[in-house]
Amino acid sequence: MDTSSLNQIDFIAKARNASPSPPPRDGFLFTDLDDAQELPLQKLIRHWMNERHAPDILPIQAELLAGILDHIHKQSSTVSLLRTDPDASEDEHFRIMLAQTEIERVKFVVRSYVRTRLSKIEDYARWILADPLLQGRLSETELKHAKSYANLLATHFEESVLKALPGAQQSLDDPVPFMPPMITAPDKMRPVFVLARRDCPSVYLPDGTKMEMRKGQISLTQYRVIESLLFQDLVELV
Amino acid sequence: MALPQSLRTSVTPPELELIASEQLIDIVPLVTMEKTAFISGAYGPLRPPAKARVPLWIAVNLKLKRKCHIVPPEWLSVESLQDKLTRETSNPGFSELPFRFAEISKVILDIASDDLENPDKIRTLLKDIREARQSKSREGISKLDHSELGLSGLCSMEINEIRPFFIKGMSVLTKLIRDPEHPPKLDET
Amino acid sequence: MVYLPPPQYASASRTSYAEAYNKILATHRRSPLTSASSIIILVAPDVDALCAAKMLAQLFKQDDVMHKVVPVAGIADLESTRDELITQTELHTLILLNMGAILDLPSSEWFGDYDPQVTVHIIDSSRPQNLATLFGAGENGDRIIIWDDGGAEKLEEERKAWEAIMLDPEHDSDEDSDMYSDGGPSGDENEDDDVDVDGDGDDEECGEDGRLGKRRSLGGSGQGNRKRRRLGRRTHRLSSEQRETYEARLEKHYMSGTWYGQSASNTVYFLATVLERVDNDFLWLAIMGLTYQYTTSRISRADYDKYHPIFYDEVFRLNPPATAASSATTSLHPDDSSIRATDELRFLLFRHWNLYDAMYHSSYVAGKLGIWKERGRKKLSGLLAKMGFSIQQTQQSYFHMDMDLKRQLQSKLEAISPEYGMVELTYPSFMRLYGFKSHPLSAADAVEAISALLDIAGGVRMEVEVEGARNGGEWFGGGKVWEAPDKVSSEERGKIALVEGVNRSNGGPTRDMTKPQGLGQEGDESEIGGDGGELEWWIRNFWTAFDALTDITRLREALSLTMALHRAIIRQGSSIIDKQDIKTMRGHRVVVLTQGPDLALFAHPGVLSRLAMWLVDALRDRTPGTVLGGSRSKRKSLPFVVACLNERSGTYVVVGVTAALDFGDTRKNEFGLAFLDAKERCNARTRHSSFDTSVLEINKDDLNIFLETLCEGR
Repeated sequence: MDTSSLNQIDFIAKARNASPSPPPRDGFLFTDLDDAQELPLQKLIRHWMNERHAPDILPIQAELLAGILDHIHKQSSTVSLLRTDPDASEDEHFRIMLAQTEIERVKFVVRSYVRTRLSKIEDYARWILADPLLQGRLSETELKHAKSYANLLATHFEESVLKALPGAQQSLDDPVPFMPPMITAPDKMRPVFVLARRDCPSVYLPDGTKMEMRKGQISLTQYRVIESLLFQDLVELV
Repeated sequence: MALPQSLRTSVTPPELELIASEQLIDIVPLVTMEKTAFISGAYGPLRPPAKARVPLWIAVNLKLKRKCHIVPPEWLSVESLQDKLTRETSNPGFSELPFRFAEISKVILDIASDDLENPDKIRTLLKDIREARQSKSREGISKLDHSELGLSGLCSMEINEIRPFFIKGMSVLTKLIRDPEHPPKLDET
Repeated sequence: MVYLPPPQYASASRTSYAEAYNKILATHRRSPLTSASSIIILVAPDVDALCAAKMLAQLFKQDDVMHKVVPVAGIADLESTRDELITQTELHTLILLNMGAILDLPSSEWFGDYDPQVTVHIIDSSRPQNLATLFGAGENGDRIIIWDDGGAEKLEEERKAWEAIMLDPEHDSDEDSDMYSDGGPSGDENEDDDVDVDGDGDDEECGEDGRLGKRRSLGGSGQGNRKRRRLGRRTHRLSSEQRETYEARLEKHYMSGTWYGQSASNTVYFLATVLERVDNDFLWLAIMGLTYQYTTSRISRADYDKYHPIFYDEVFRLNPPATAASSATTSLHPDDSSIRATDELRFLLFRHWNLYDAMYHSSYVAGKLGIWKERGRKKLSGLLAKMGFSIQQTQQSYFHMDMDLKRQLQSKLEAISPEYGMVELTYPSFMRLYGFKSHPLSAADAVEAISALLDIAGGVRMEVEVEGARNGGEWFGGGKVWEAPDKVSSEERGKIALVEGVNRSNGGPTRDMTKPQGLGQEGDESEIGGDGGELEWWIRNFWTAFDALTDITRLREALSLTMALHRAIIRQGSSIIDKQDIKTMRGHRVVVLTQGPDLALFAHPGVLSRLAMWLVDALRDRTPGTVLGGSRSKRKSLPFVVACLNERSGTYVVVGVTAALDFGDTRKNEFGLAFLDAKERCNARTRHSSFDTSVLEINKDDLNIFLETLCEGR
C-alpha cells in the first residue's frame, strides 16, 4: 500500500479509535463538567485558565502536557506527509487545512500555559526555592530554571548594588520592621472568581461562615478559601 | 518569554473566544469530507446536505470559505432572546444563559449573519440583555465585602469585564479588615 | 498558445475557464514546495484589472491557495519582472491581467524560455490578440493560455491565413530580400534609445512599408525560426494570390487599430459563476469593470448594452427585492449591502456635489452648452431654472435637496434637455447600498474614485475642497491637501510591506508588495522626487486603490479627490478651448501644454487621457470628422493628440485618441501604430511606459518634428 492510503487509513483509524462521539459541549449552562467525558484538550484548557487566574503556582500537569505534545507531533507529521504526497486526492486538502489550523490553536494553548507558569516562577523564584512543597509542583526543567534565575538575579543585585552597602544590609532577605518581607510570596488572599464543577464540601470563609458550593455556582472569594477544592479539581477558576 | 505583564492580571476577549470556539455547533456543509481525527476529537464525515456537528472553529473556517452554512443554536433566536430579556428585567437574579453566549453570538453574527433570520433584532436584543445584566452587576458592588460574593448566572465575558475592578475592590476591603499581626486562621476541611 | 473559449462554448473536448482554474488548484496542491510565489498575478494599473485581481485573490483565498499580486506598469516593467521571475523555481502559474494579448508570448523573448512546468494565463481585454499566442502549438504550446471571450471563434480566416503563412516561410525570404533591403535591419532592431516596444514594434514595420511585412514579426520571430529549422525545406508553395490574400488578412487583423473586448473582470466573473461562488462582492467588482470600460469610452454603448442585461439578471438573482415598495436607493436595514439597478445620469458624481456642479463638470453637457464661455454657463443656469430649480436649490448638495426635487429630477431632465440638444442623458447602471454606514454609491462614481486613486493618490499635491468651505464658509474656504488616510513615510511603508508579507503566512494566502528593481531613494511624500520616487508612488497608489475596492470609507474619501481632479481638468480644458490652443494639422487636432498651474498633474498619462477625452466630448459637435488617410475604415473619426510637458524629466507625455463622431460610439484607436510609425520615421527618442500603446513619452526636443511626422503620414 502506498503512503497516501496509509496516511488516510491512519487518519481514519485514529478517528475510529477516538472517543465515539464528542460529548455534548454546548451544554446550556456550562462547559464539560463530567470528569470521565472530558477530553485532554478541554482538560488542558481548564488547567490553563486555572493557572492564569490563580495567584499561586499550581501543580504541573505533566502527563497531560506530554500527551498533548505527542498528539501535536503526530498530527504535524501526518499533515506534512499528506501534503508532499502527490497522489493525495483533492478532498484531502480540507482535512489538511483544518488539521493545520487546529495544531496552531493547540500550540497556542500549550504555549500560553507554559508562559504563565514561567512568569509566576520568575516572580517567586526565591520563595519557591525556599519551599520544598512548591518545588514539588514544578517540573524538572522549571525547577532548574527557577534556580538559575534566582541565582542570576541575586548575582545581579550583588554586583550592582549590594556590594556597596554596609554589611548588615547586604543580604536579600533582611527582616525590616514594619515592612513586608523582601522575598515576595504569592498573595493567596487575592480574590478569584470560582465556578463549582460539582457539589463541594463546605469551606470556611474569611468572615468565619461556612460556604458550600453547589454545582454550577459562581462565587468571588479569596484564593486561599478554595485552594484545596481547586487541587481536588472540584472547582475551576473563570 | 514569560507571559507579558499586560496579560497577567486578566484574560483577553480573543482568548475567551478561542476557548468558546471549542464548543460544538451544527452546520450544513457544502463539501464532503471523511471522518477525520483531530486533537480535540473526531469529526465528520461531512456529507451535504446532511447536518453535521463540528466545533465552532471548524464551522467558522468553512463558512469564511463559503463551504458551509451555520445552523444557529436554539438560544440564538429572536423568541428565545426576547424571553430571556423579559425574565432579566423582571427578576432580580441573572437569568440562565449559556456560559459563553457572548463569544458565540459575536462570532456567529460577525461571519454568518446571513444564516440568521433577523440579525439586527438579535443584535438589539443582545445589547438590551447585556445592559440589563450590567446594571445588576453594578448593584453587586454594593454587596461586595471582604469574604465572598455570589454571582451565579454570570457569563464568561461579563466576569471578565468586571474582574479587574471587583478583584481590586475586594482585596482593598480585605486589607482594611485584615489584622497584620494575627492573620485569620482557616480550618482546612 | 491555446485559447480558452468562454463557458458557453465549452464542451467535453474543449475545456474552459473552470477547468483551467481547477488545474491551477491541483498543481498548487500537489507541489511540495508551494510558497507564496508559486502563483503570481501580474496586474496592469487600470480599474478593470484591479477588479479582476481582487476577484481572483478572493477565489484563491477561499481555496487556501497562496498567491502574490504584483503590479506592473508597462512593457518595460513586464520585461524586468519576467527576467526576475524566470529564476524562481517554485513558480508554476503566472496570470497576466490586462496585459500581453498583443505580445508574442511563446517566443523566447517572452515566456518561451521558461521552465516547462510554468503555465501562463492571459486574461486581457485589449484587442487585437497576437495570433501566435492564440493558435500556435508545439512544445511551448499548451503552457500559454489566453482566456478568450468568444471573439477568437470568429478568427477562422485569420487562423487559416496565419497557419498557411507559418508553414511556408521559404517563399517570403526570397521576396523579402528583394524588396525590403532598407526596411530589413531596422525592423528587427529595438535598440533605439529608450525604446522598449517588442511585439508592437515588429508589427508596425508592416504598416510602414505597405502590405507585406516580415513574416517573422507576424508569427513570432523565435517561433518562426524554430519552425523553419524543424520543417526544413518544404516543396509546397502557395500561389502568390493566395499569399497576398492571407497576408492582407493578417494585416487587417493587426493594423486596424486597438480596441477592447470583454473586460477582464467580466471573464473572472464568469469563472466564478461556473464555480458557483458568486456573491454581491464579486458582482459589484464585475459591474465596476464593465462601467469602467464604458465611461472611458473603451467600448461603445452597443457593447455596453450587450453585457448589461447579464448583470441586470444577476443583480436580481442575488438581490431579490424584498418588497414591492422597497425603494431603490435606501437601505432596508443596517447591514444591507445589496446592489440595485438604477438609471444613471451622465453627470459625474452627481450625488456627491450639487446639481449645478455636476452638470458643469460633465463633459457631455459641457460640450453641448459650451460651458467654458460665460454664455454657456448662463445657458446652464437657464436650463436648471426651466426645470424648476431655484439657484439655491442647485447649489445645495444633492443629499440635502428636497425629496420631491430628487424624484422629479430625472423626468424633468428628460423633458427639458432635448431643447438644448442633449439626448441620451441616462444609461442603465447599478448602485450599491452600504446599510446605515454610508450613502449608496453608484458604479460610475466608484469607478471614478478608484481610477483617481490609481492615478494620483500620492505623488501629486491635490487640494481638495473641504465640505462647507464654499461661499465663505469655514474661514473663507480654501482646501486642504488630500492625503491617503494611513499615510506612513515611505521607508516605513517599505518595511511594513516586508513584515506584513511574513506575518501573514500562516497557511493562508499572503500578499506581498514587490517593487521593481532599481528603486532609487524615495522622494518627499507629497511631491514627485526623482525617478525612484516616481516608481514608488505609483505602486503605493496601486495598493491604495486595491484596498479601496472593498472598503467604502476609503472610497468615499477618494471621492473628494476625484472631484478636485475633475475641477482641474475642467479648468485646463476650458482654458485650452478659450485660448484656442488647438491646432489642426491635417485633420488631427493637436494640443500642446507647456504651462499652467496644473502642469505637474497632467504629466500623468492617466490624467492626460482624461483631459483628451473631455476635450473630445466637449468639441465633438464643433469639429467635423476626418477620414485619416491610410486608415482601414472609411468612417470619419476625430483624432486628437494631446501633449503635456513634464518639466522635471524634460519630456513630453503624448496621448492620442481616436474618437467617434457620436457620443457612445467608439473607434479603434489607431494611434498606437501611428506613433510608432512616426517615431521610426523621424528617429525621435521615445519611451512607452504603459501598456496602452497610444500613450508615449518623448524627449522634448523631438516633439515638434514628431508631431509633424505623425500628422503628415496619415
